[in-house]
Amino acid sequence: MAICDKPIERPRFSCMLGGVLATTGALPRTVPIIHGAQGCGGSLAQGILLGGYYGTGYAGSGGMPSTNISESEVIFGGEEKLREEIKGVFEVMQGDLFVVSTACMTDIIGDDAKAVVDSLRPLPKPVIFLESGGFKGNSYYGYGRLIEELFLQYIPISTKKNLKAVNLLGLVPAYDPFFRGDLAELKRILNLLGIEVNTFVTSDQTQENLLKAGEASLNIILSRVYGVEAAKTIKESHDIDYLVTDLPIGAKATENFARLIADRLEISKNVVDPLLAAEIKNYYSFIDRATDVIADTDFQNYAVVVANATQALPYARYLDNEIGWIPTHIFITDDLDEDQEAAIRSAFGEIEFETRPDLVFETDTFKIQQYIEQNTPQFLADEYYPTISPAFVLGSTIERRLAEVLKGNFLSVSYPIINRIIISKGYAGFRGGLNLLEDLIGTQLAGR
Amino acid sequence: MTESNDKKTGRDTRILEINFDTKFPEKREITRRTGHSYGGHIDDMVDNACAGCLANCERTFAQSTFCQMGVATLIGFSVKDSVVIMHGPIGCGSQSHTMDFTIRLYGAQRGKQMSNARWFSTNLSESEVINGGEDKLRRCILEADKRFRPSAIFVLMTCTPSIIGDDIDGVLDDLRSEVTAPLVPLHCPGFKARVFSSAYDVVYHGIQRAGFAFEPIPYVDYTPIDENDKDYDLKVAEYKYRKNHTVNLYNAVSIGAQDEAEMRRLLEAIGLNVRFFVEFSHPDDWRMITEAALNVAMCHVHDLYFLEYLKRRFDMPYILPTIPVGSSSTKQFVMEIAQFFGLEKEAEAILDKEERKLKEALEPIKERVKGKKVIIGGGYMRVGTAALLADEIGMKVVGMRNFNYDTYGNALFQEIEDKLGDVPTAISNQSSELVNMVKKLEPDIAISHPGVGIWMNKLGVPSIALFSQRFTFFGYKGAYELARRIDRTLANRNYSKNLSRNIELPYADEWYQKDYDHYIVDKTAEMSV
Repeated sequence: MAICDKPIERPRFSCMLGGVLATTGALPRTVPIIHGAQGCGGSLAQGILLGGYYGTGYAGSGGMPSTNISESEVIFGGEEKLREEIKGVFEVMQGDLFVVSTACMTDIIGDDAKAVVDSLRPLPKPVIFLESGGFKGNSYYGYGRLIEELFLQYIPISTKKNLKAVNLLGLVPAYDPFFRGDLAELKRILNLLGIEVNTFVTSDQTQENLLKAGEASLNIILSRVYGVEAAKTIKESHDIDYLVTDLPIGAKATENFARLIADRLEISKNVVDPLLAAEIKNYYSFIDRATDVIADTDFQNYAVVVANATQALPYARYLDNEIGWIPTHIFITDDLDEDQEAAIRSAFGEIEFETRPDLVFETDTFKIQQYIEQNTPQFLADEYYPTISPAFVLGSTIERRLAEVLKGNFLSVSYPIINRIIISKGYAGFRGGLNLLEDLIGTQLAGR
Repeated sequence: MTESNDKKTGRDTRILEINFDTKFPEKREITRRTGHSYGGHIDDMVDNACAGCLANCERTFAQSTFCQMGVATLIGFSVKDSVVIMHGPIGCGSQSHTMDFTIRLYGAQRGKQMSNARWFSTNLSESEVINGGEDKLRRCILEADKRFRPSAIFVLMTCTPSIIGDDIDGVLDDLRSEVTAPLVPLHCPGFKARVFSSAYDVVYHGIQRAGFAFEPIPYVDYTPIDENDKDYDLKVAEYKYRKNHTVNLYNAVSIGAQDEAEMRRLLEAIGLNVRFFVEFSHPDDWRMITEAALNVAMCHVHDLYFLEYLKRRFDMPYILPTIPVGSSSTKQFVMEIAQFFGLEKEAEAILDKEERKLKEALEPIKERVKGKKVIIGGGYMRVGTAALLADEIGMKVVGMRNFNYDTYGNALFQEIEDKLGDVPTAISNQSSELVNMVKKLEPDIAISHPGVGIWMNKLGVPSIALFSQRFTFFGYKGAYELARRIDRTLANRNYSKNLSRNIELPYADEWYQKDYDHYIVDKTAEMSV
């Protein structure tokens, strides 16, 4: 994976192993086995927690088996240690799926972890293997590679496709902090249309969902950049078509999303229209009653969105298209290669904004604030000047500081989120759109 | 200080083999023979620590835990206006976002306005693994210095650059003339130390090598007294009196502002000036460190290395009384300091009064928590002193889990053995071992290090924090507060009960049939070959 060749200040993502562990921990009854140093799992688990206190779960954090290699393995090799560890895992732990993941050290010293795993087969439970040294990429890349390997090593190929079954991919556990609520809502909507959905990572999932994922006729990738490579590989290996779209937030976006999928799966308009009409009617009955306070208090804001490549555009689109705010800046904080950046620019071009915001790719926290300060007249000494005011910042918890500088309001929507806990809430779909409005307005009412 | 660390033999059996002149310090497995894997009871653990063979134990099945790199970030962030650079791949230190609120909030409680937690990752990728990461580190340091003008830049050497052979000391030496901030090299690759508290030695070693001053500078920090001044003798006497009644207490990220306030209250009451170092202070403040008569570690697991350095370099005496949690440890803590200053009588008068008041206040709590079973896990000083407090309020300590252990805990653990008997004790930070142990001991409540409480709750055991800056732990106020928290937690256990009934643990039934130390093996024989 190509990543930009520079140090990053306060990075909002972790390494490949971090993404692999976050995702493994979200799979049903799945146990990771780390072949690496003792702190890899412990520290990365603390990082995973920053997705709105996305916790340990079944076998996360200190529950993750890890070879904890030390100096002697670095010198003499750690394959024996891994062999011993895997044996121990099957004596101590229970689970339905085990994922052996290597770390920087073991990749550098050249341990052949795959050979170790293979030499131990047959093992009592399915075990897949992944080379995931942190220096190979970031957590989003780790997510994509794990999904790929799940299909290549575990999910059976099925020539018989279920034309009404899809896999929802692209949201990365913890690093897309609302992934559970978002996926649950999109699954609800697709279920309404008679579509079966595998998400792999929500709490309703079992191994059954993973094992029948090969029967799906479509992989829906809810990110313009993450999971796309995996979808291409799966098209080759499992002959599943894929569709790359954006995370839909709010009534319009969700209606478009539902129609897009329905068209693709050839679901009749006669089925889709009344279902969506009912959803939209319901949605606006809530918006209706929220309008008193919005209208009386003039709660329209200029907005700055700071988020990852999956979420930034959908949030900005919601603010402009759905609730009539004015996004001025969209900062994408990921470390993207040229193709990924081009994909985001193209998606940005497709969005109809009333006023086109500034799209900025910036990984460094300090430079985000600096960009606004240096390009915005409100920091010039003039008598009359247009300001970003009233301002609202949607970002990570780090952006609270930016909101203070802009004297605006703030809602944490992107990783890292440590100023609130996320349990089942989502911002995608119809219900998510309402949740988001509730939080955006609620934040402005909190002082009353 | 008392030299009879071992009550059985009356000798000081503590092991400390350190060398301040090397590039980086040895891990504690070597310098203190610190153990990280053990299962048994107090008596046997203490004996093995004395024999130095605890450090030889290893696990053949293990789970992930902390590393010295993660721990090394803690002091760096809490130095006022610092920048921390993780020299490694992007994942190392990616948990550091939490330090932002930690330092700002807990700094504010101490009246210190801290900047945001500012840090970089050098973001080493495959190409640096092949070609070396020194150039990227150089660019990162220059950018950090220009962007933030920090008080210090802590550079953490993670596993990857240490294997590929980056010479961070060379890079830092080259850059010193180009940057404003002092550059602090921290050699803390996670794989190099099983005992992650080795990180504190690494940080203090780096601080010593970074060129910070620990003595005041004339005309900057003070105006020298003019020898021709008619009051010269009086002023000198005044100065000496003040210095001779000043004590430095060393804090840690586990110690809160309220803990500091409580210890200040008690020590000021016997007539001492009290100051706190090194966290939440600016490196410029460190120049006043030597303007005191005595250094005292509030948690010597954290600070011994630095105090030993100050002793050798500046001839400053230090003591390592205990950690002042619970009334007997608090008394011991204050009395040892008082002894040094010849203020025993003053101290005794105050402590007796404090103890009486506390005893009275604890009575109703004791009634309610009497006989309740508690398991305590985390750093051994906290574990041991919390066990004494639990005993003080009539609880039954059914088990202790020390993350690490060495001879510096022997005096405390022998006191526990004397008072509580030979309690089951592990050296473990492994959750599988914890779950196994808890299932057998069936405690009513746990007092746990962060990261442990989740497993306790899953097992139906409510868990409270072994330390937290949110609450008071130290002194008489801390003893009362901690007892109250235990009482409150036991008053309603529904959260953990409900959770345990509705979730599944990832452990096989066969595991519970085995002893929790099943996978701990003594490698002494192998090592001597």
